[in-house]
Amino acid sequence: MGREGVRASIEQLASISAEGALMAGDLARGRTKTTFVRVHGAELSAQAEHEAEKLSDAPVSAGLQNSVQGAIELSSDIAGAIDDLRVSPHDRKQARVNEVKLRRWAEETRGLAEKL
Amino acid sequence: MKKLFQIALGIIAAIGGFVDIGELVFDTQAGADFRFQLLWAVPVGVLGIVVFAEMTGRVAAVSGRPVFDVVRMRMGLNVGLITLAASLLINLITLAAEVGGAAIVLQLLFDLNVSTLILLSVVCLVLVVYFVPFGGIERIFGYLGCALLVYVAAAVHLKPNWHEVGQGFVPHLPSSALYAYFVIGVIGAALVPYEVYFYSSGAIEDRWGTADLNLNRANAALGFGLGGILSIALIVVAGEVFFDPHIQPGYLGTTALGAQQAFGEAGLVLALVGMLFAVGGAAVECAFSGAYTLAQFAGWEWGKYRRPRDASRFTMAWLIFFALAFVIVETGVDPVLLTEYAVILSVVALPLTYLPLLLIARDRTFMGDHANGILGNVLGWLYFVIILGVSLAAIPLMLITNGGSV
Repeated sequence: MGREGVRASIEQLASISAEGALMAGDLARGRTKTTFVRVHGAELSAQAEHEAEKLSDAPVSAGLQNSVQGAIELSSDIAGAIDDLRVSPHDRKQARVNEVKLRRWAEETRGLAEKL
Repeated sequence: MKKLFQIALGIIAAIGGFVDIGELVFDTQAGADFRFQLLWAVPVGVLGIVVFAEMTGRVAAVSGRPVFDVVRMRMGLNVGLITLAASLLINLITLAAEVGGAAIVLQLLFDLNVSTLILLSVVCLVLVVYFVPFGGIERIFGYLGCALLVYVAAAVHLKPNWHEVGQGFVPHLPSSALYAYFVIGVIGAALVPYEVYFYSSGAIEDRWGTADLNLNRANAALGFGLGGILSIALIVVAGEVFFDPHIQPGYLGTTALGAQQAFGEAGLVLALVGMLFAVGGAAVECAFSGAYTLAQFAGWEWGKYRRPRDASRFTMAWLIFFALAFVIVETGVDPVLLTEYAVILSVVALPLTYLPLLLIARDRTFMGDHANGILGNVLGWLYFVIILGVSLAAIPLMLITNGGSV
């Protein structure tokens, strides 16, 4: 996987995290539907895992290893936080905590992409 | 008064029926990636579909011939066959995308197994098409599709910078291949041919004559024109909600999230209901368009106003279209990806339908006093050039941008 491919994958992770944060925010404020959180959350978390697999499986040059490793770790955190939302869609307190985390991870992941 | 009421109802149905999965996907991605910079492409596409639809409606009302009859008559059998094959393929891909979209929206609403929901969507659509009269179908999907007006309210509620929104309507040259790809996507999503085949055949179904030419103009201009406001609203909402956090929308759920950000659960439910009926209505139009084109080309009896057994091959054709779409979606293919292919392929095939129609609509020996006037000819040829340019650029841009993902 070349630099552009790695960058696109990491940007995708940042996007998923940012979208997860929006969803978590709405969940924390009781402004959404449980079915929506479960179904759309499953799509986002599956996509995060897919991006992690892509990054993990593809051979990358030595200069990209650190970024890729960082992104894989973040992707696991992101998918986990989104899974928390869909597994416990009535837990507003947890959603508020996850909103903050997902927003922070979105920024960290974007930072990784921008360094490439 | 009754006529005015009829026009108003037709316009409301057209507004609700304007948006399909193509707009939901491309407009949201366009707003997320480029904020308001692609707004200008919406009126370009909408004016194109107004010009195109008005001509097909007029030709149908004056000559009693729907658009595919005209294509075969003007271009001959061989070119007609190529156009037919391209149209059928595009209709099928679009139908599969719409059916898949309906199933996804149902899943977001009810969290049931998606395979079951695909089957449920197809069965419900087939039952509605079989048992509900043509006008009823238009109204059910058109009126309930108006729930998408929640995006217009959301666009206002989110308080965008209206100066920036206004600047988005000033056309500017593409700054990147991705930008050019989305220009084509936004214009192409408005100009999908099935809408025109459906509109033209619908004119025959509704038995339009020369007395209905004003109704045709009103429906085409106001219906599609006001429908374009929904596209603009989708871009503005996506620009406000998804641009700053760098969200790349790849799901219909993301489009719905935009309305939720503005109005919470009520916004989400309205958006999902609107999407369900918009894509459901588009699925019906696609299935009918496929059956219309085939029947008109082959010279079969066709029309919803006929009893199914009196137009048995036409009825069988739309049933087969639904069955094929069901099989395609059940393979697990992503409806959003299908939509992108369908819109781009539609753009490529568009000149094949548009040119013969333009030649007929301006032909005084065929259309008499109802042939294109100066404005009709200028706009007609201008759009032919635009369509040609867009169709030549569509595939290379799709390849360069990897389908808009770079």
